[in-house]
Amino acid sequence: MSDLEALVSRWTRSNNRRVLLEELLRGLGWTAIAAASALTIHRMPGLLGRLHVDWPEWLPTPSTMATAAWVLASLALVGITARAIVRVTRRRIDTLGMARRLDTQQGTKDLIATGLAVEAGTVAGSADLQQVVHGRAATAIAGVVRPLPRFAAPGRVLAGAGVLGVVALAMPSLLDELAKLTIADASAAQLETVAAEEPAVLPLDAETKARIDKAIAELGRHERNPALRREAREQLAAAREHLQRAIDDPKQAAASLSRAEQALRKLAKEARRQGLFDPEAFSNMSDDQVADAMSKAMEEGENDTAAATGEELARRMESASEPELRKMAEAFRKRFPPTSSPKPKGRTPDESGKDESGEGKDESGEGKSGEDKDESGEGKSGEGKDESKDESGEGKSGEGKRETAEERRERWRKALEEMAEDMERGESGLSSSEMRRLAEELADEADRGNGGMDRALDEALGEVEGARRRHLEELGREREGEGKPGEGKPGEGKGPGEGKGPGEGKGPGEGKGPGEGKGKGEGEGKGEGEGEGGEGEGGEGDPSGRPGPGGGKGPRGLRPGFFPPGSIKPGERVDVPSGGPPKGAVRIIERAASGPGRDTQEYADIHHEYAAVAEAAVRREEIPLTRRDYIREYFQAVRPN
Amino acid sequence: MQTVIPTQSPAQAPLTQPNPGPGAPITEQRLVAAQEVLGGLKLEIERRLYGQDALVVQAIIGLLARGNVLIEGPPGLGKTLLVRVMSEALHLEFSRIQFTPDLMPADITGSQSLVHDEHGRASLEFRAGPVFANIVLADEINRATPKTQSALLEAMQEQSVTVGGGRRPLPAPFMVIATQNPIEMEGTYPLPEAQLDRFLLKLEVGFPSFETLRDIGLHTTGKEELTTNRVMDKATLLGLQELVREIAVAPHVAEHAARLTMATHPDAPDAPESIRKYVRYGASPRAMQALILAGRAHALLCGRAWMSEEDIHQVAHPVLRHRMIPSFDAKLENVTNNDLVDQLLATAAQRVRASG
Repeated sequence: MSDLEALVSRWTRSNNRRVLLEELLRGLGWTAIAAASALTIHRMPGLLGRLHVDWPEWLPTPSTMATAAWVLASLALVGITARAIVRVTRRRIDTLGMARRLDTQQGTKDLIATGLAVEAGTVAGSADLQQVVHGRAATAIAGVVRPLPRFAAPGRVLAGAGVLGVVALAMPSLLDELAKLTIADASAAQLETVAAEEPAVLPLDAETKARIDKAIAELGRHERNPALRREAREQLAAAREHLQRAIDDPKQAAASLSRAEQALRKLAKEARRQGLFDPEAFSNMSDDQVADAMSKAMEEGENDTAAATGEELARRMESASEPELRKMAEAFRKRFPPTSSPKPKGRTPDESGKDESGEGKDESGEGKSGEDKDESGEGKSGEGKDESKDESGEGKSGEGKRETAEERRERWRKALEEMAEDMERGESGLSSSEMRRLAEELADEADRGNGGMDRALDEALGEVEGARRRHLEELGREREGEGKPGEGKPGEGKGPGEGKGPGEGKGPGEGKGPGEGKGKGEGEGKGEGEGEGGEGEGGEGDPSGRPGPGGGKGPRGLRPGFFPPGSIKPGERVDVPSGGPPKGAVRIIERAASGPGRDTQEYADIHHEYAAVAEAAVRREEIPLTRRDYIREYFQAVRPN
Repeated sequence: MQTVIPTQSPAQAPLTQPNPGPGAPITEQRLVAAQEVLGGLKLEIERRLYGQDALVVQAIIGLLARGNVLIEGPPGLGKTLLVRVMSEALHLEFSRIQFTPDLMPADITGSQSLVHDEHGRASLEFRAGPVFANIVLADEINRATPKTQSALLEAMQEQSVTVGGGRRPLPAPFMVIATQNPIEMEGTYPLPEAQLDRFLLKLEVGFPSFETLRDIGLHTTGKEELTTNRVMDKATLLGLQELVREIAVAPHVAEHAARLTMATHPDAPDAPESIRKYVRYGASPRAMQALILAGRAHALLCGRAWMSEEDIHQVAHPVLRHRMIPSFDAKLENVTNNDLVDQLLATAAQRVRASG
């Protein structure tokens, strides 16, 4: 091989290698683009899911899309390979091509190519001519500086692949952000729509509000009880705040009332399990403060609190010094100043025991026998019996040895006075035992249901429950239709007996609804609704003659999705409209179902609202009897964590 | 593409040429000398013929390739002047035949006449016609009858004539330059394809530019008569014609010429779409020979000892334009053969680039 041909052949090989590399890069770039595209098609359902967008019906199914992605990717791979082969074949050159390229580059007009031909012996002509041509070709090729063109990486293809790669990497987070924005926008828009569409929020009626206020006051009072456990105090505070929120924001009233109810139930449960009071709670209080707290509790009739503080005082008295006892005595005297009745000096515990036995036993004179314990025991049992009878309403006050609550409080007051005297005298042991006995009495009294905080909490819970039920009924009536509320006529109670339902409501449109007789006696309620085409709801019979609730269907008619009782005939098929659930709640529920969303406050709010509406529907007997439990169990199963 | 030829002032033109004549070895010096003398010839012709540079170059190519040239153009554009000036510059014998319908073949070739010697004896003596010259100008060749036109066939192809049963060679160098007027076609006899094919080149004379017209008016209407300087002698011309045949042609260049010729045929696989549509018959193998010959001459004009594909492209128009018979569609759509050659060259150039 001669010089010219060797050189050109070497350059040719280098050129062909470079072509191969360039086409390889180009093929890789296209492969990356094809892979990204196929991946996008394959994951399209997932991507739309991240955006919370429903899969369009006009598109093939996700499985078809996945298959199509694979097919497209395979076809693209084949196409890219074929294209690369064709391009490499086309761009590969032989030595003649290289020589012609060099001629073009150097402007030598086929000199090098002819020189190669001369070397190959394919040019006819004299030796002189061939020498001239070869000499000129050698000179020309010596002047070649850059035999190969610059390396031309497929910039656009690689850039496209790079951009797609970056997009693919950033896509998940971008989609998440986009989804957040979309949800936020949609929620805001839906809230606005809902706010615009929904009727004005039904305010709490006076009775409901009064009940809630009463419950708030009650809970606040208990919350200040120094003997409470910390957890109990927190539950009380939470319940009170929910109640306050129900008043402040009528829109959330149902949910707030429900939460308050839950808090109170939880508190009651904990009270049964470990009690409401904690001796540790007194650790930060001084003796006189404890004494003052006990006095106050007795004054307000909180027997269990008084018992707890009494126990604590008894414990402290055992080891108290005289000044400390005096301080306690002072605290008692502040709250219970000494009465004017003369008291014999130098009283013994026996005498005090005789007094406690009750007025009915004064005549027996057994107090002087010195059998303190027996006397006091008899007294207690007698008193208990009397009180139970009082509670049932069968007892007759003032009969025999029965002691009234007033008399009992007066006795305890006197006992405290005497105890104060003992403490002033520095008799710690005596004072301590008297105090312990008093605390036991108070605790027994509280156990019997008099002056116990648990009973007070039950009452508060009842108030809350009543308020919530009443509010839900109002809400349900409001959703059924917005007629003017009917005014029920007072029910007529007749004598003692049991309630009877249902009541009947009459309005211009003559409606019927469930009614309940309550209380003693026979209740027969009638409600009359006012309003156009109104449908009255049954009144509530009540011996007290209170007006029964009435409802009427107003001019706006029924809201879709709600069917008042009696509006559906047996066997009639009813399609429930899709506009039932509040807008914006669907996504929250979906998120709750797919993850830990049941921990969120949003979900709890929605659950309370739904559960309340469902409960109202159940109570209105819109749900068949055999299905009511399903409704309740369902909402129990999906309750918030 | 413009052919660039080094020029030499006619005043400096050497009367004794460096060309050692046929058979001499090709050297760099000989190539350079050939380029110089050809440049001088070109300049000398252009000094008399204004504004026809391309025409002059193509005429010189035809001369160097030992070909015959057909010049087509309207009257008064210097066709005859070109031939006369060229013959004067080369110091060659020149004759002009004005073709008319009544011109007979013998008027061209010559004839045997009965002559009497001093003894009164009669004998037939051949009297040479005007074809016996180095450069024959067949002016308005299409006005003669085909019989007369064909009288030139032998002269053009064989460079000899047969008269009275004897073959009489024409002087070397020999070249026929025919002209024809494309405007006045009535009463004319267009040259048949076979005869057209004998012309190596067909040159077209275009109307000169404004500046050229101005120069013509300024320099050719004066009192003094313009004369032509002698640039080279007959031997030099013969040596250059030999040198043209020595120019190296690589196989790929010959392939290119062959491919180009093939592509003029509408049924060829490489034929462009325009050729398929507008050409009835393509160029003959003589066209391919003409391409290479003219290309060699062009390479020599450029001072090269080798021929390139570009040389073929430079001579493609005058070589191919009269060798393709256009179809009816071409006439209908006013597509000329020059347009078709343009298409051909564009396609060939793409192919060359793709393969390079």
